Amino acid sequence: MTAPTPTRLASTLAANAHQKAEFQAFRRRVLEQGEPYVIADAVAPHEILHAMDIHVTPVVWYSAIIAAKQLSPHYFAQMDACGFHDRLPRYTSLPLMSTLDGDPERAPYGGLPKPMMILSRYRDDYGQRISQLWAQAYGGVPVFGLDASSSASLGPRWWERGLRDWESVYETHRLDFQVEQLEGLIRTAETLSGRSFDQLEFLRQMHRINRAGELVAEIRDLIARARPLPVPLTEQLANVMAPTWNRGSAWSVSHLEAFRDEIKALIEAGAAACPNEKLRLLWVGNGLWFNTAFYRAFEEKYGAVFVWSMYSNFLSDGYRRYFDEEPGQALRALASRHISMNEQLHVPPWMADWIVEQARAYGADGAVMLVPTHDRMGSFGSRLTKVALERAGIPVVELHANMVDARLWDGPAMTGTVERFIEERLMG
Amino acid sequence: MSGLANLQAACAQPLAAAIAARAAGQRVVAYLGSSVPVELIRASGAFALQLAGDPVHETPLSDLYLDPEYDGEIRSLFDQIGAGACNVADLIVIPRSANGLLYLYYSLLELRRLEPGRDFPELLLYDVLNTPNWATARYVLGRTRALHERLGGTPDQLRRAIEQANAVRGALHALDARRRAGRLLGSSWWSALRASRVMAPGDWFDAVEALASETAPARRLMLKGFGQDTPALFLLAESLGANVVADDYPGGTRSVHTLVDEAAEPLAALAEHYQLRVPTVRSTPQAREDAAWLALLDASTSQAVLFYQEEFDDTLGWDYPAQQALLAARGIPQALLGRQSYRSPDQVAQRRVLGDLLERMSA
Repeated sequence: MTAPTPTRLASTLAANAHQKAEFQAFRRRVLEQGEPYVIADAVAPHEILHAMDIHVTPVVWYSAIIAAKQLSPHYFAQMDACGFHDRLPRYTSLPLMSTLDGDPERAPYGGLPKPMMILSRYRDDYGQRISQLWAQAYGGVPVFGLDASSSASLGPRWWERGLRDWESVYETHRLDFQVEQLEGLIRTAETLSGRSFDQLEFLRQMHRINRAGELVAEIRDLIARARPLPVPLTEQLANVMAPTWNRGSAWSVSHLEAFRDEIKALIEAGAAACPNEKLRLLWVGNGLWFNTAFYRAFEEKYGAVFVWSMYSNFLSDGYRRYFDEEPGQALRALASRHISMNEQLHVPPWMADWIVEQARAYGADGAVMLVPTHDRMGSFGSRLTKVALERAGIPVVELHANMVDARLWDGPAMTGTVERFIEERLMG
Repeated sequence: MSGLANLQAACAQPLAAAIAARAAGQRVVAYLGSSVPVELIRASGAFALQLAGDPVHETPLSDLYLDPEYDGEIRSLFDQIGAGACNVADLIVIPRSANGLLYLYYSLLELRRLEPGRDFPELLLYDVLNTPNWATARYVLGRTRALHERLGGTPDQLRRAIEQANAVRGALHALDARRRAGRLLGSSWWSALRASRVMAPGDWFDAVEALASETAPARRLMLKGFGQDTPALFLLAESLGANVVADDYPGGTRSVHTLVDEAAEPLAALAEHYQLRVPTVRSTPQAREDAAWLALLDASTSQAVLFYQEEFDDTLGWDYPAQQALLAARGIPQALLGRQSYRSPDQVAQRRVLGDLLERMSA
């Protein structure tokens, strides 16, 4: 006997309210009290700043918020007007466009005030350019660039080996370099903020992140094993991403405990995200932030439900790092967290192997792959991952669209593509 | 054959000298881009061969395995290497000087995993980074030492290889001076530079020495943007009565502008050189990069700038609006060839854009 899952979980409402309240409180502190904050890439060590009680605004978090509020067409028109051609990356530049637009009334939550610093990790060829343009747009703020070393080999099962054997997985010479950069970041943040890096708080936060990762692993197992799916993907995203951005906080742990308990209760009550569930799908690639309703567009007609995306359990598999009780080891563990995130999420074989593993765990029948148009950092590994999934018996359909640019989205065409895929490859 | 014919023949058959070297018993180490220290390859006793993209050939492997928005150069290299067309090499060194090259490296590793029967050379990543920081310098030195250990070669061999590579750079400087003086065509410069990366150094010096003086068109153009795997744009300019007297793109003039410091410890000198003195698309900060190409513009007395961006550019377009403004402030006309297809560019449109620019230059 199944019952429909509530439209919004209590956890989701709490997560959304927390995010909004946090952002508005931070903005007041910055504008009214002159507190420092940092704009940072998602794949950067926010932990250093969190340990100094410095707020971090992740670039792609704000980008997703702008897209969700249907503001991306306006800002990309601004981008065109500035003379930037329309094939330049959108995901990490959308917040810059909101700054160039200069209208806090329009920008979500009143826009991003002038930061203490922009923290950028130079994994692609253009991030440094966006950071420099952004720094100029604020009238000059420091850009701290973290160089991105690369692995010579991408070995098997990073999501298991990386938890404890991170020294060998991420290579000693790369970790040495990253630790040196983190030490530079600490000193820079101390100088700019006038605050000290709190080593004990850092250790506490690193442990909490591991605890949050364990909870997400527990949640993943609950969701992956449950039939039918107890919570839709949209609810998973809200409840895992908020703790990811607030990782290290006591709130992140207590929220995930509450989310886990709510999921347990839903499973026990026989709740179903899609009561006529017949097909289980993976969403491969970045989120479709301006149209998350699309994740549920195939439930009524086909009983096709999205069960997983890379955000579902990356906080478990990508963030957890167990380390000795020695402060230097904690910093080294942190160094290992971000230096290969891009490879884990976007570069085969790491991307492909991890997703094949998730497909098996969740019992997926097929995968819908967002291949980002004009955000090719997110698309370079797509085709090889598609080949790997197909070889593992998971049919894949590609959707060529952008994660935040609603102008490039052709709703009827995309729906038709997925419907044909379901009919011809999954039901045929 | 004339000197120029020799250089052009080497460009047309870029593997020929490597094949001959291998037949004579020499090991061949290939490399991509312009950020791999050829000095280390030559010091190990191997023949150094630069592999480059070739827009002529189809790319069926890329169509199967790579996403459509990869640059044409990367797709071409993926197919050439993956199909075994570069098997004259024992080893291919790939620098992390552009994101496309890094993804090419990983994609080829994945190709080998997916199709273990494919036969292509061993791949080696040279993790050279171009950020001008002290920590990065130490990291690049470590990677350079690791590459040297992998390839082999004595300190004396290394010093001699540095001297030889500097001699090549010096000869290229002389050719560049001839180009600026109107006595060398831009297309001949392109051939000399490319040939220096596929020929045995001795043969290359002979060809360059025999290079006759040319009479170049009077109008002077700078070409800036993506790397040029063919001399097509140089030839187009010449056909319209202009000479490309300066260029700023990865692997172009600026990649050979600075000599490696022969007085310094060799590995430290090479690490510093390839981190900071060979510009890449990742070189930063942009203000310093802009100052460098503007200096080149002034030194060459170029009268206009032709920007060139490929079809799926995700990088250079961020620089372009500010660079337009810099040129406008100097009264230098410019034009953009944007969204250019690597394999099948619209040559009529190219001719029109460049023709319009040359008219503005004359006005």
